Amino acid sequence: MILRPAIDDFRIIGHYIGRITLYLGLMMILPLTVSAVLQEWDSVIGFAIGSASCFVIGFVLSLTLQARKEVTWRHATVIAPGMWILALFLCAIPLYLSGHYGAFIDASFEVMSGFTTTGLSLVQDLDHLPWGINIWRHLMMFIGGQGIVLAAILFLSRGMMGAYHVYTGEGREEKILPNVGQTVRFIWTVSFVYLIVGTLAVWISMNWSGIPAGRALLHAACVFMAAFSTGGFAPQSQNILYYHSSTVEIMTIFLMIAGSLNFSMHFALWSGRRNEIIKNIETQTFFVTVLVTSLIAGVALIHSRTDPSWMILMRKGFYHVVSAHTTTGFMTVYPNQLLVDWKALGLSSLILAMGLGGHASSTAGGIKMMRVGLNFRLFIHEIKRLVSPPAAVLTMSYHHIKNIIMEDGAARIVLMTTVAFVFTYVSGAIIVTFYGYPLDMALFESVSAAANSGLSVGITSSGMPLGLKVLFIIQMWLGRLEFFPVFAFFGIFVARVIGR
Amino acid sequence: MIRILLVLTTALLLGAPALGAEVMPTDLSKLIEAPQRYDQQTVTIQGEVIGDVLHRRKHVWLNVNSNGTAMGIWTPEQLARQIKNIGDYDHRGDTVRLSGLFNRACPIHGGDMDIHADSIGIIAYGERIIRPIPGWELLVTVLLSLIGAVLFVFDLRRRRQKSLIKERPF
Repeated sequence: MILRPAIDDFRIIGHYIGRITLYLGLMMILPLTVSAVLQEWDSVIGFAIGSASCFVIGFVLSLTLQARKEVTWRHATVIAPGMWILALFLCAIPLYLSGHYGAFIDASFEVMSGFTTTGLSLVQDLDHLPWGINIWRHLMMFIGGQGIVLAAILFLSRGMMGAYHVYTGEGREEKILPNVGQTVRFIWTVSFVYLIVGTLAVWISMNWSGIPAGRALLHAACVFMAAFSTGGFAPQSQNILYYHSSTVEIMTIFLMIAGSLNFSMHFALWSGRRNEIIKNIETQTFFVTVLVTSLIAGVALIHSRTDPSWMILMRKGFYHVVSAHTTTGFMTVYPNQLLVDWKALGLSSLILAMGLGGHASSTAGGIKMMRVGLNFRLFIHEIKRLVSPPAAVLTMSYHHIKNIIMEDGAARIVLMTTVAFVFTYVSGAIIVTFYGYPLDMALFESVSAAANSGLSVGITSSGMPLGLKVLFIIQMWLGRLEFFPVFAFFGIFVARVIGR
Repeated sequence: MIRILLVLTTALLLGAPALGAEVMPTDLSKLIEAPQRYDQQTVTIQGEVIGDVLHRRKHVWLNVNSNGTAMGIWTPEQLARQIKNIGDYDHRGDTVRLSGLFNRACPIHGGDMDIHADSIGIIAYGERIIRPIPGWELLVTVLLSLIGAVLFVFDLRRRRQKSLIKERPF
């Protein structure tokens, strides 16, 4: 029997969505300030309209929808995806008013791509974009990487009863510290320390590469936010190729990997447990899969070029494998080069890397290293079970921060989520082929969207069909929230109609 | 008759390289679409200088945008000195016409696709871009800000009342 949610349940959901919307309005004040300082007055007006809209809608929702109930698991799974849908419209206002997006849906696409840390972009004439808008695009990635709701909990936690439920509703499972408030504060402390140190390091390398100090700081802030959030936006249309700098590329490799690490791993490293990086199932799996995909990419590049040097293999091959595997999406080649130079073998290495993704409880997308490692162990475990005597009792354990014994329920969730990811990749690719694209291009773009990667072979552009824009928005949303909260979001409306 | 044919044939043979040079693309997107076709050939490109001029000892990197596609141009510093305006938010950059060697995967720049330019000429100087603000946007800003401020005060009062009720349960 399906339980029918009461009107009070919808009220509490609306109330909290309203409170978090206020936070979005506050967020826009930072790019508004940047625009004001740089005298980008049309952007200042765009951000003022966007921010005021957030405040009006936020106050209206939180004032009119009041309920004497606490947030439960049921509400929380709906608050997070509901918040993301509202953000899709409100955060797109300044982008659309900038005149650099062909339609409002293009601006909404950019917002979804930013918050999900995907990096696919429909912006037009990026090289003339105001800095305020650029900071906003990258800030959305930084905030989205840690979680919009997570960020709101940090600032609005006094008014957020049941914060833990909301926290888990945004695709996060682990509490690093016993209290969710402490966990959120730790995640943001790590992010801010990296923000300062990372931006400084990238700023020095960009200034060294010939960009004047003032502009280099803006570039560095944007590139850091995109790299550490495993996002992939960049302030110029050539992406990372714009800098023509191996130093910037090396910096971004470190930041991409740091961003794709599990926050529990960051906590272990910060606590001095360096051994964890060798023993952890996720880092072990990551090492093996990066090695395998790099080898495939290397073979592909050697086949396609007459004389590829080690430098080219590292700066083009390894760089893009890391970019794909951490689901960042930074590029130092043009999308068409992936088709011409990397060919089917090279593309398959990147598709595989994107599909597998980064670490769980990080800013990265994809199936995630934890699930890949566990699936492999489950496979071996099943073979062991088949060849063992019937009376033998076999247990499967793995190391992630501590030694954990794998239970049947957990194994089922791992397999279900993996199947859901693969289904989304393949079904998306089939839909893209309906629009006339070849299967390799369709699969690449579909995996890139659903794994929140952002690498592109050129399908994603402002001129692509409306159906594909909607498809990729849905794929990015599903991939970031890992399916179940999105289904719960629609499920509560269905339950209201058919429930008892 | 034979003499005329000989003259025409000679003219065609001698003119062929020049004709070949003429058909080289001036659009960067053509280079990116078929890089293997133009690899290690001299190309002529026309586009707007955007972003930054990145100084590297005696050379610079220019980034030139042609019809929405940008590419790095490696050129001696003295050739870049004539560039006065660089394209960004409030500037249209100088439009340049440049010639140089196209590299599909430059061996000295880590495999980057680039052009090593040996001649650059300014076609048109850039200018400041004026971006007017529509009147309706100003009106909407004022209206929304006023409504937001009223709601903020209302929310603040409501919260104060709530906290007072909590402090005095009777």
